[in-house]
Amino acid sequence: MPENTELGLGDGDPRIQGAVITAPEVDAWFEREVLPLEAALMQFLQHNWRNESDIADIRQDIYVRVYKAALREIPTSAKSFVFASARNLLINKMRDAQVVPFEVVADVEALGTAIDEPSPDSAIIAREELKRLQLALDRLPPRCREAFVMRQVDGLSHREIAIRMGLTERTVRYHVKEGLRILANALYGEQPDMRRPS
Amino acid sequence: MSTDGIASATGAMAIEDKAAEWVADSHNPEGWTVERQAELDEWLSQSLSHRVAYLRMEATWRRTNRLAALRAPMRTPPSPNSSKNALWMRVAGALGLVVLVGALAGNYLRGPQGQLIETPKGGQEKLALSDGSQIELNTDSAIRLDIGSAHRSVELIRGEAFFEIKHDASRPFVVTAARHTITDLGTKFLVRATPDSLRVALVEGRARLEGISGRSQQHALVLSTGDVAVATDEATQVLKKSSRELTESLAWQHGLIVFHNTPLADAVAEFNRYGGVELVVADRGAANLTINGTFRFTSAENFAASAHEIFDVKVDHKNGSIVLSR
Repeated sequence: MPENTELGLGDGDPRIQGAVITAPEVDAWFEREVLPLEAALMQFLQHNWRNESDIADIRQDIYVRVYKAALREIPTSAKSFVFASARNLLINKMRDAQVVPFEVVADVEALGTAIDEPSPDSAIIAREELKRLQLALDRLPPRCREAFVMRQVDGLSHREIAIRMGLTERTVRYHVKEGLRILANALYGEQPDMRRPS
Repeated sequence: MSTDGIASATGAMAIEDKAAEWVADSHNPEGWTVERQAELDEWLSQSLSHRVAYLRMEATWRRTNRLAALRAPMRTPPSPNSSKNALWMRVAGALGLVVLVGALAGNYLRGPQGQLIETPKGGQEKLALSDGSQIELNTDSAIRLDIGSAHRSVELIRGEAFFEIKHDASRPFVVTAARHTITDLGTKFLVRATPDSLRVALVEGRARLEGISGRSQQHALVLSTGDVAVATDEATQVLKKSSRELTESLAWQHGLIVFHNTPLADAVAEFNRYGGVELVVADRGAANLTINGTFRFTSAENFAASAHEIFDVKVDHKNGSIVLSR
């Protein structure tokens, strides 16, 4: 494995010990403005960072930085802020790793143009989202899909689903969790499954 | 690769997995308890990386709800009683709030004239009057109640109180505070008295505000919903506030304090009203930082830790106080 094995948590540990921070405004902003950028962000990261296995951590690190900054002040443009954070983080990581492949830096520099595409209107986004979710749902492993649909569509509890499927509640819980995790990636990351083979 | 995904995952993967588990569990119509909610809050408070992962999963969960609209139920419809509680939990969960069950449930009748009612620092009290009106006292507050057959009057001696008044034209309800009177015209309002000013926020309805200091003859002002009046002996200023802002100024009824671009110095003063560990802001650099968020007012230590985390302010423990500086 190359040198870049650290978690990518960058400057300062993002832990907040025991604090109860809830910032509904920031949460809403994060969901509305930042999460929809994930597919583009993932594409950018994959393009500019060769070690695929670092990408989930890098993305998380970017989200933490962006969220933390928004707690102080919500950035006016989520898009430029997210990509500027991504860019800085990658440059720092490259520096730390002391490998600065020329073409990657060039690519980072070229980023400016790529992020300025106009956003489609929200009705189109909503339809797109639904389509993506449906496709992803249909591609879930059969038992996982069945459990997830019974939970989210039919509104049954884990216990009720367990009885119907002849499984333990624990297994049902696992299926629902797993379904949600995979759907989140389909919805935001457009990655069928980012899990790397071990 | 392992299918359980937990042991083998790297940091972000493990967190994502855990977040999905929390969201799935918190929406399960059975088995979600106040204790589990507290555990979730604890987990969320451990790291911003937990929070962002949770937000992402929670947002996904809400969006997959739309799938329900497209698909005919595969089996029997859900039991009708399964979702009411879950909805509340969902809302609470989404906001990361602790569910306060019955924490403020004490309603009792108090009648006698001229009765003095006080709350200590950190205390709160809700009073139900025999006429159906209600008064809720915040921390470190005192009122004197005088309810008769022809008059109803309350003196706010210090602190803050929220009034929900059953209007009765024949028996006006008059609140006296900081050399002003507030006369109910059918109303819910919040009054906060400090040594040199009075703040009246009209949550609903109307009320009349008059100065009673001998020095200046102030005009009576009729305040309506959304008006916030700040009155001193010299002048009264009225601002319009949104219903959200008004609701937030009542967050103390749920044990919470809400800050929007609040200077750290003001935020600290707000915490100190509740009498926990005293917070001190040592220099102007720290005082001018602005903070957003919702906090439990019992968690001054946690607030200090957050301030350290978000702003890199220094946190020192000195003589039982927590000193924040840049």
